[in-house]
Amino acid sequence: MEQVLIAFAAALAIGLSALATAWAQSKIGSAGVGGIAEKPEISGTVIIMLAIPETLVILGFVVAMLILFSA
Amino acid sequence: MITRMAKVEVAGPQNLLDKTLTFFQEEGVLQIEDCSRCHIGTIKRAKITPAYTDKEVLSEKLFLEKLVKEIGRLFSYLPGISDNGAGFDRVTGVEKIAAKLEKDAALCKELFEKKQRLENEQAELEHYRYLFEALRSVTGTLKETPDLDFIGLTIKDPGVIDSLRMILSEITENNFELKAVTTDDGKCFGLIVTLAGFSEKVRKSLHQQEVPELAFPQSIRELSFADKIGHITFRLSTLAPELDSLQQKLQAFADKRGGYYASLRKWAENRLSVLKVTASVYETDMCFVLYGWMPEESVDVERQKLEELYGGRVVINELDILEKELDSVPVLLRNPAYFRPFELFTRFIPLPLYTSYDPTLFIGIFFPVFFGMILGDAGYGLIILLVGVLLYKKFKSRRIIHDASLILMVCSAYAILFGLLFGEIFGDIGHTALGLEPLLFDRRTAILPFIYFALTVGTMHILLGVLLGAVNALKTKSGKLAVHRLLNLFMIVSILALVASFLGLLPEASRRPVLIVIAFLAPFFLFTGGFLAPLELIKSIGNIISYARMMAIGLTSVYLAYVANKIAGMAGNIAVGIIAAGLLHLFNLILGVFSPTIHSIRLHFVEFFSKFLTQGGRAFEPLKKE
Repeated sequence: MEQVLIAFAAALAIGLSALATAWAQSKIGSAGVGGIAEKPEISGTVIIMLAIPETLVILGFVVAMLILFSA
Repeated sequence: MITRMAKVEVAGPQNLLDKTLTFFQEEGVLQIEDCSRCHIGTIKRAKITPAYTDKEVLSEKLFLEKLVKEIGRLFSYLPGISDNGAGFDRVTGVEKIAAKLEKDAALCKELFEKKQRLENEQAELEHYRYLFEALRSVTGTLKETPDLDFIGLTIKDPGVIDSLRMILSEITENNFELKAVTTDDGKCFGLIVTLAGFSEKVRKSLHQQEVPELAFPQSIRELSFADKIGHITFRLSTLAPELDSLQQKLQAFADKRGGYYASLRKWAENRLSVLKVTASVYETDMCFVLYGWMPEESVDVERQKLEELYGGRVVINELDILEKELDSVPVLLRNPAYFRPFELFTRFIPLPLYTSYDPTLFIGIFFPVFFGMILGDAGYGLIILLVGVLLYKKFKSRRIIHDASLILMVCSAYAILFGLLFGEIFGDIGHTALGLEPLLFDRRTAILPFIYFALTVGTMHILLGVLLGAVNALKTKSGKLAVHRLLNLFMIVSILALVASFLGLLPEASRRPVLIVIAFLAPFFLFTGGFLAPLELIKSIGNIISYARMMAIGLTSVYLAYVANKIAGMAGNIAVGIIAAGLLHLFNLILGVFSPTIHSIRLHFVEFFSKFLTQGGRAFEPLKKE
């Protein structure tokens, strides 16, 4: 049972942070595409902006790793 | 690297101003600056006045602007103008040329407009020909008599045809015929034939049902259907040669005069750029004075050239750059051949200030290493190397692709190196088929060592950034900021040591001295950085954790390669297995190029550069020929 709870906690840590990242990226992505339509030269900047919320899922991943490996 | 700039004052007799400006335009090394931005001494400022544009210069400027506009208008009528004429050094009789240009533009406009009219007619007739061809089967069985009326329809939804029949039956007392036809491209057209007496009611009903009527062009409106098709076919056959002839005339003009006018425009634009900077020229009773910026290494060269040309009558003086104007010194980035392709990434962000650092150097050093760490597969590295070489050979003239191919080649070398360190060639094929053992660790199983490795690299990168920030603060004589950044560096190291002691990576005995160091540094840290300093510290720790992405993305790449190989093994058929594994490896390779690129760049732009880079520099824009 304890194993199940640990796995569930790790899944929650990465799953929720992935959802949060996806939500943030959807907002940035739609705004970015709008921006690119008007100014194609900002494409590179938009791609980098799009990668910024991925910190959330990386943090979630680190937490999941800590849960799994320190348990 | 950011090129060292010199603030210069150029002075000479007023009659040499035009020649001096043309000289600097040829050289392309001087950015002429308005005096108000140059911080010259008040005594000197009192002696000079802005050189007001005289009537002659103004009329020349207006004339040239009109000339450039007129050539642009002429080119808009002509096909295939190559705008890379050699350019003239001097143009004589420019008024006569302008008069001829006006006549040429009028002639070309007439030809162009006629061509456009015919093209529009051709497009319209082609459309109707298609339509009537489609309706021919409908009209073929009907005999046209004066008491019959034909109404064409565009039917957007074929589902309305049945209800339309019911309505028409009611209105015309069943005296109608409705035929519909769907064309190859899915459009639906219809034709209603009814007694002339009912046609008005039918049209009104169609309008109410929002079924648009087909509007025929004036030239064929009165003709019968058979005549309509005949007329369209005949007109189309006469249009093609007419259009060809007009196109040939325009092309012949473009071939004969286009290059000449392109060169003339280039000359006029260059002359205009000289005239425009006269607004930033100053004068005394007899001399002109220019202020501006020039790369430091060019000053002596230009001085020597002016000496040879004008025998010391035009001179360049180097002025001291004041501390308050350091932020407004224009920035020119010049990098060695290895780093130059990485300017591709630098262009994504604003220019650094003159007192800051050129980000290209750091991207050139760390980006390929991070890329290699994330991808870390010798097989993929080799394929990327091949792609890079192919792109390099094929697109030598296209700068962006050329630069990208060079970056790919450098990155692939690191991917191969890390691939060997991790023992990976197309995932675990290196191990299973070639007996390759990891020199560092196996990423697939050594997850914790890999995460510590990524975080250690991140720590070093961030600490370097903080250290560079402290050095930069010292360079700009911001002592308190420099001390704060150094304290920030020690605090980061102390906190990481504390975390390491809790994770068992450092002995437990180290915890107490580390805590003492933190307690000792904290008041100084708060004093130099204010109450927001702890937030900055937390941000720095967050930045370091962000480097865990190198491990996370690397891990997905390893597992995808592993799964691809597993599927190949499970397929039961060699051909199917190879195809499935090949497709998965291809997918992984594409991801393996994009993901490491985006994330390595992001680690630089967001985490690393925020520690020391000050953006907002002005680009160096010298007076030069186009």
